[in-house]
Amino acid sequence: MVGIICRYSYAVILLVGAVVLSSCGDGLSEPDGGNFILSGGATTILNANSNAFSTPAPNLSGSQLDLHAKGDAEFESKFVAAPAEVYGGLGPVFNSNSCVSCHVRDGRGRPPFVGEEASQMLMRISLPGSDPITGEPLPVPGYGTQLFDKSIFGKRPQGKFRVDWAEISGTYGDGTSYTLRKPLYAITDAYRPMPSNMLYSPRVAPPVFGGGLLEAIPESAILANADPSDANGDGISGKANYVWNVEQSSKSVGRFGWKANTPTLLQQTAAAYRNDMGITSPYFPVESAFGSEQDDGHGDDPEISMKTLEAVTFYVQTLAVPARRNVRDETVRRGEVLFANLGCASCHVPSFQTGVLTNVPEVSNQRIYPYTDLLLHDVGEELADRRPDFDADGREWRTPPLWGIGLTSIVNGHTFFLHDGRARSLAEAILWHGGEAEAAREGFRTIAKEDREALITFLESL
Amino acid sequence: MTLQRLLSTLALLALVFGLTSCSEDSPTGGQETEYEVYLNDFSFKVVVATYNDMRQKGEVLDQAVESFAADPSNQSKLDAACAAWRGMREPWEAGEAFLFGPAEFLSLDPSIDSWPVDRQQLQDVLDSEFDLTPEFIAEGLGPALRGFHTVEFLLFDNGSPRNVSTYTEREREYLVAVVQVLADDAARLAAAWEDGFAQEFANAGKSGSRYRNQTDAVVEIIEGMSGICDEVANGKIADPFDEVDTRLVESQFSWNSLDDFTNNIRSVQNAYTGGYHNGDDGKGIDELVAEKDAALDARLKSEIEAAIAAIGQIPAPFRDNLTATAQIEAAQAAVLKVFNTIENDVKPLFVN
Repeated sequence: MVGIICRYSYAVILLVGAVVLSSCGDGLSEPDGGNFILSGGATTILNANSNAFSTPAPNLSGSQLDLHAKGDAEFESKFVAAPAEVYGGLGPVFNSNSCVSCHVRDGRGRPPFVGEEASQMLMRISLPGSDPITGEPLPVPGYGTQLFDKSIFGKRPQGKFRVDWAEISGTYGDGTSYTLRKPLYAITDAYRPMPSNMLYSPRVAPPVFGGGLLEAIPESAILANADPSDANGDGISGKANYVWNVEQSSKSVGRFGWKANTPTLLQQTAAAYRNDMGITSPYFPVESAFGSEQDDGHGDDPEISMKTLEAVTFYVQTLAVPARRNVRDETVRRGEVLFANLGCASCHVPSFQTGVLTNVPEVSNQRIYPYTDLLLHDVGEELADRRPDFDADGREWRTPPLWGIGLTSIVNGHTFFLHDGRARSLAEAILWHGGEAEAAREGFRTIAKEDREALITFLESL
Repeated sequence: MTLQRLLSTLALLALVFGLTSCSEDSPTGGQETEYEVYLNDFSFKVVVATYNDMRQKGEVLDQAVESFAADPSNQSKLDAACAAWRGMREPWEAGEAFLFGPAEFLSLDPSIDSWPVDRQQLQDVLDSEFDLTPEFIAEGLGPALRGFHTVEFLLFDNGSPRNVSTYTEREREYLVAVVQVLADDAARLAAAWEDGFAQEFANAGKSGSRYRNQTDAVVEIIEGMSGICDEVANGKIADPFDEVDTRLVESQFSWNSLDDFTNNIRSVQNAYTGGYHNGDDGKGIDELVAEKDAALDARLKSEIEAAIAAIGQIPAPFRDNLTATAQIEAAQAAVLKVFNTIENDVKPLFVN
């Protein structure tokens, strides 16, 4: 059993460090006094090991740190079939039996290896069209909007999915060849017939740290980068996804998930409990399998309390962001310039100033460096899932944050990137970009080898 | 602000200043070989030694349950299997200071040590007609139906071996199969370290290692040590104690909880001193600490011993003594003292 509930607080030190830095004048600080080493502002930790994504924000203390620790424990809780003395209610159909088994060490999931069952990845499904009121994708009758590929004993999983890979080759501008692996998905063992027009979209579990900071970015700051009809003609649109906000019973800007289909971390967490694990809460008190032949009919809902849900939400909101490394390295600096010059930074926007997130002062009013605009972009046919999700069309994905990306290998043991983990390296992830990112990708593909390596070295410093 | 906290603050201030100062320095800190022997001994003489012991004790447990299944009315066979479970449990718990790397990369931690036991599903499986093979358990059932605690549930009742007369044939079949799965998982974990990750960890700072420099690897060891102290004090002991809820006690069927906690602190000791009790003593980071601050090294070692002694003062079994407030709080305090020394005094010696 793993559990890191470390309690230490270095906020003061980091603040002092930022002040020291901003007087340096060596290009590491910005005119606004921000310090781009401290990717998460005062929530940053100086850590480059397996705990880099799973450490409490150093500016937590007292009851806030206790709440984080409670959420940490709940994040690791393994659910079992009902009836049970503790942690009952799993399923009856589900994708995972705990938060941490997909978000291992709060990090990045991966697609299954050949012959392995998927455990850190799921398949969203829907029918064409959307709900006229909420805008949600239409559920598949008897299934819903995600394929539950596991079940408690005695029930049947809705189905399984398999990934096969086809190697495709390409060539860099300097003649060096490379290969990419294209995923081919097959849904098998369906428990009842699937409609032939069913849409599906594979998603690996994204890293969860830094979520509170993203939630604290003012909506106006996100919309300031939006250019849905490309009015400025730079080839980059940037569109906010307006998604259903359950608490407000209205639409608001989506921030979380690969298609920004969720507006808040509370809603995200409640949905993950109900859908990914089949655990009901006061927020979503109805079982995912309700009304289907898979329903267990236990009537034991809600299976977790609002307190638990809020603790886990707070936990995700207040995980630290790891600091950048090697920032003075010449190659890293050159890569950073290339990142901007090639246009990567048009969508992977380096910095934001957070506003105020109610009850979470730790993430409020911070200068952060997430390298995302939280907006949707068309990234081309090759990455298209052809499954609309609220206002995101079948080619659009939310720009994912890049902070901490260089530590994926040390935390999670792999370097599989993009929504379905098809990229086996950062270079492959770039090479898959198309659509609005085609010019940037072509820039990367055709620059000199040392420049490509510099860009990757920069990404590894994040 | 305590003196310890102040010193820690100064050390971290130095760290941040170092990171952000205007002067140039090597991105790897210029410590290419300084810690290599320590990392190597940690990898091989602590971790690989621990996991090889667990692999071997997994085979012992496997043979013991097969022997019981072949002679199902022989209580001494079951008693031997229960002893073998405790034997295998020890190296696992003595490895909880280093669950980074393969245990996580291969999702072996949940497979080996999931808790709670999914008793409802287990009963449903036993009541079914499925062949109870290792393949069926490993591939057809989730992590909650395998591992130490499922085996423990099948072997023990109220801290003692069950009475052989209480077993059904299906239970014995499940026991044999699930122990084989556990032994296989233990073998995979040992192999993942021995055949790859151990050398990579020892090679920190060199090409091919995901550890960018040796300091990051040393800090990984240190945070592993403090992390398990935190979990023992604030999780494993605190969760059932705070709620006075026996259902939250880990290893509650075997009443092995206090041994688990003790072995967890032994894992801190092993990681620190670079050895494992069944193997060669290697060079531990205790030597590095002693070079910098001999008094600190001595203090940490005595605090570790004091924590083990304090856990030993909690009356056994833990599950029946959740109201032994004085002893439990003293044990928590002793373990947290180790945690604080590691985090506030030891770690700052390395992170700059």
